Amino acid sequence: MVKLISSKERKKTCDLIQQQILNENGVPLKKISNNIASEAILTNDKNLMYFSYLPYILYKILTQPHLLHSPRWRSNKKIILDYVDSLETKELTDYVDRVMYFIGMFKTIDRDLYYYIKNIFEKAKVKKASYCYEHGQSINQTLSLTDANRIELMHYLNNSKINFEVGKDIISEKVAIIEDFFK
Amino acid sequence: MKYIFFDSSSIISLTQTNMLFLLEKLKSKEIKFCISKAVYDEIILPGQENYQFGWSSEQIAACIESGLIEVLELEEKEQKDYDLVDEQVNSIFSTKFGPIQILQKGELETIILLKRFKEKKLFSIDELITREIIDDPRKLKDIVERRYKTQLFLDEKKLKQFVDYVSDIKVVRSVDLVAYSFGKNLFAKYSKKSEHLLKSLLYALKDSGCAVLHEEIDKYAAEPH
Repeated sequence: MVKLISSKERKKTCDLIQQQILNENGVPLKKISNNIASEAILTNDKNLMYFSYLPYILYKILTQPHLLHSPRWRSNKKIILDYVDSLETKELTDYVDRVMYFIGMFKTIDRDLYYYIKNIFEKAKVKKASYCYEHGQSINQTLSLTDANRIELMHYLNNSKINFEVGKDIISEKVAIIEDFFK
Repeated sequence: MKYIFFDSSSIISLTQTNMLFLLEKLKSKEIKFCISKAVYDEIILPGQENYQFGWSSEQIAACIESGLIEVLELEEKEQKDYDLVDEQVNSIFSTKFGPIQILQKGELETIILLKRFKEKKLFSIDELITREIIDDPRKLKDIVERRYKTQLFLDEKKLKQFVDYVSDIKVVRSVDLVAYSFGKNLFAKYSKKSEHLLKSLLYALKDSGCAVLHEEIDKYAAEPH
């Protein structure tokens, strides 16, 4: 664990991502994304967290037949592969900007794909924020690491597993506290 | 004087469910509702940039403007306590890669401000993690430990120091405040079907992010307090 700080390991991960794009196999990208996010949590590194959004977005794209069957897909695929290739040489400290660049890149190339990516990017942030929260970080800490939308995250967390696992019936205790307070 | 401090999660839940009016009804000469400056920044500033927050921020800003909610800032001498508690709580858990950051400015500032007052005080928090780190940090450790793919270490000394420090801070949730308000007939004008109404109110808060179990809502509805 915690390898991605080294540029060699990041290159390996980028190669792995490129491989899945070439094979149009989205499923492994989800795991890659989670692994990067885990490292981002451990190292409290926002750039790594942003890096984790990329395989998640690509996973979603590669599992959408309507995008893969689009006449633009061939050229989009090449653009994405080139982008991932260029990422290998970038400094980790640039990853927030690089991922933002990726989101905006399709604005003029493929409007449909651009809006799809934009939506998935927001979803990815909430998903990863929930992942951080389940690792015991407060909402504020997860927001600072992921840039997720607070309101969307709060709605999402309502049904997160950790709420059921840690949650317990605390009513008697809370009622006693409140009644004593307002006495 | 008695104080209720809200963190962002709790005040946002009340705002999004149109229940801020309760503060007006619960307020008295001896009860003050407060937020820290950092919480203010968390809930008001994003509303100026983001339409999704805009309406909630406006409503909370109006409550501040009218004096219903007071914004408090740390005094210079409290900054030292802030730094100390920040270091303490954010290194209770660590992995071999370093300490795990759990709490941020909003929660930390509120904890320090709560310590300022010797009178009765409550901290209203809807999110689970911050609540648990004050209420039951050991249980939290057991749960999150399973999620880390590496060993999680607990600094017993720092945990004890933090637990002692926050021992006089009582934590509640928006659902607890609303269930209490319901028991005091503050929703009387809405419906006679009281059990249904109470459940609806509590589910609205749950949907807005308040960490409450279905069983707890059922229990509140079965025995309104």
